[in-house]
Amino acid sequence: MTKPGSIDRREMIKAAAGSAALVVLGPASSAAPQHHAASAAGAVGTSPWQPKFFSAEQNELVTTLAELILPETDTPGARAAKVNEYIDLVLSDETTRTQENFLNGLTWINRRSNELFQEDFLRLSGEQQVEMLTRLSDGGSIQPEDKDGRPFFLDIRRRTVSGYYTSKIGIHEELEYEGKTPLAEWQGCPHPGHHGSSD
Amino acid sequence: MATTLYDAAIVGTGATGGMAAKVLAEKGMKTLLLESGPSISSADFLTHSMPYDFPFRGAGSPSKARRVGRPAASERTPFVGYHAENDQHPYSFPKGNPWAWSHSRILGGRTLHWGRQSLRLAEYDFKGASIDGYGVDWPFTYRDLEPYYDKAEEYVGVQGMTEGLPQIPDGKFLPPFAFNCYEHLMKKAARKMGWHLTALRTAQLSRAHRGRPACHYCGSCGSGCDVGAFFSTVAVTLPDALATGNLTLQTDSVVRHVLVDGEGRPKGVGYHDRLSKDYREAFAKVVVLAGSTLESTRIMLNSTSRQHPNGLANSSGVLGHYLTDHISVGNIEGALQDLVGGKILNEDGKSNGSYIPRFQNVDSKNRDFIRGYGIMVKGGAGSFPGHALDFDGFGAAYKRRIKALHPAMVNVYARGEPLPVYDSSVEIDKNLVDHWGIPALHIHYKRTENDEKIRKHAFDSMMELMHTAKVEILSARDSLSTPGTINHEMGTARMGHDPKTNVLNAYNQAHDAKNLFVVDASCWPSSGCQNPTLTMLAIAWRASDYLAEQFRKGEL
Repeated sequence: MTKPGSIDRREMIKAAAGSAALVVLGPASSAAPQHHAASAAGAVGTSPWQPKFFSAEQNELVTTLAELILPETDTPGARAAKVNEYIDLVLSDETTRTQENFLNGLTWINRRSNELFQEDFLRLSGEQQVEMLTRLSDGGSIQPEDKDGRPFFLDIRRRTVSGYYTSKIGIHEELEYEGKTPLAEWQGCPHPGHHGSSD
Repeated sequence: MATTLYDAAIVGTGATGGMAAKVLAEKGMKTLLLESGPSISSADFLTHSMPYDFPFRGAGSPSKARRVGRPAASERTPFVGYHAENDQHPYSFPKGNPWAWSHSRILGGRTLHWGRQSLRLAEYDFKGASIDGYGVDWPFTYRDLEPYYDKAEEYVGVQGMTEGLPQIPDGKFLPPFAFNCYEHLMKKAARKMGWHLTALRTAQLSRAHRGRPACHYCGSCGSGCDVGAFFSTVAVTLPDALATGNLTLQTDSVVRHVLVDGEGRPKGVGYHDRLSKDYREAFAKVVVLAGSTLESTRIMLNSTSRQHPNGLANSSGVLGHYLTDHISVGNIEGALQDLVGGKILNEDGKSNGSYIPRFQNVDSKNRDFIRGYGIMVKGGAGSFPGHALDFDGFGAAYKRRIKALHPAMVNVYARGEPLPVYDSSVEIDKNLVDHWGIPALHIHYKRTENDEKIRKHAFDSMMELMHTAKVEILSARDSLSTPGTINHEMGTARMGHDPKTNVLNAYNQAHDAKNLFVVDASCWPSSGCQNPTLTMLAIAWRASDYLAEQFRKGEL
């Protein structure tokens, strides 16, 4: 299940181009990168996305876990928001220890899944998958057999939240974010009921 | 090649360096302004970028963060020196006693991304020792500085509400930004506690001011303002200084030490070219240090000579001592019950919050501690739901809860006054040099019992405030910030009348070298609990006026 953290150097340099480019500029020129270079570096090219770090099966497992954590509701979920691609990118640049911890977590999920249901996690029914995560998701009532999975659950949940709520889907569709919108005037609170007598 | 002899050489382009440059250049002095880092202008900023514009969503790659530190790895502000890179700018501290230094080494310094909070200190703050016996008074009064507060506020543009509270004197304000929902509700709760809550006064323009455009409420101040609607050196003081024709700006010049002549009199600075590391020298009749608190003191400690064996202008022995950084208690975060499930509004556009000024040691003496703290009240819907990690769960119900709480979030933290002690100090680390071979600092911070008393009182007060406001508390940190984290370094070259116990006099002039001025917050003899930058600007203006007048009279 584990895969050595082989990073495609070309992809790594492209991904980091937005932030690494600055160092070589001379004193007379401005220190700013081209804005579109930053977004181009991470943009999808002409070929379909390939993981930098996960195997195909690991990627599918991560995608499934992320979608369970933040599923499609009245707005798209983590799968549509491509949270797996973000998690893959970040892990591809992490220390070996962090990478191993994460992959060990995926291994634990499958081992536990086999203990409970005699199948790997991806082959479980939707209800069984939810049941397994439910065992990990209440810090106050974790069974001893599930304790080792709790840190991994919190870690992948943090990564999923991070990837989802920084995506267009998370920001604009789910949270209906109104900010970063230039305004001529600042109105503030529109509810007279909130205002005090001397505000 | 002729070597220019400038009237003044200023080291640093942060808040006080920029202010000194404006004043001296406008007074007709031929001034060299040196900046260690690269140039930058407002047009360079990626102000309106969104997280998904970047591969790592703005946070930067993990490997880069490991090398240069998380702030310097940011993709939103990918400018060399915007946040000083750890690998180029090392420093040390004793094991188990960390100092978290977060500084900038770029044109404009921290004015490019500061919190913009602009509060006046009060007479209580300048005369603390006379009032409660601790430490030393400042060598001037609030009345002495008041005209410079007026000038600085009027020049910079500060939005705020007039309150008539003696502990945060009112100023010359632009119209205040209207409150968000959470601020109205928190104000009601504060009133029930007997406290005042006011708009946080910030150096942001609520209307066009002195040729600068008003804020357009894009909520992106931290990424740098591309229209100059908040105060920074590059948007305000530097253009005015350059317009005089008397200023020579030289970036990429990493100052190593102050040069002195055979009598120990300052005559210029030695510096390294940032890129080639070549060593060069610049000469001036007056030297002004404004590199930020620790950097100015570091330069002075690195400037030893026969007449200054313990560092430049350090006959008192206090250079490097009495270091403080504001203490922060919290934060405490939760959801206002009255706002849960409401429509999500644009609330982060003004990039501002509210403030409960110090209410301890105002009308009555607190029996446990002296001085005190103010409380910052922030909140409202931003782009990222940080509260999502405050509670357990997953799935549709979790996702719905995150959204329902998003418009209801409020968080509070207290900013308190630390007491300066001699043993809280910096010195040169003989075993550590930076990228240019300049000896680095060893920072040894020391807290006092008073910090702990403030911590407990502030935490209890904030919890009570949150309960009164009907907030469901989701997370509550009751610890003190790591020293340095708050970015308000003060002290280490303190000012006072007595040359035996102070480095500088009441006009930021070195007691031991009348043509040396140090105008940043290294001069502070005590800390107050208010954010320091506005006071720093007023002091730098006052010191520069004095310097120019003394120069004109031939006294320097």
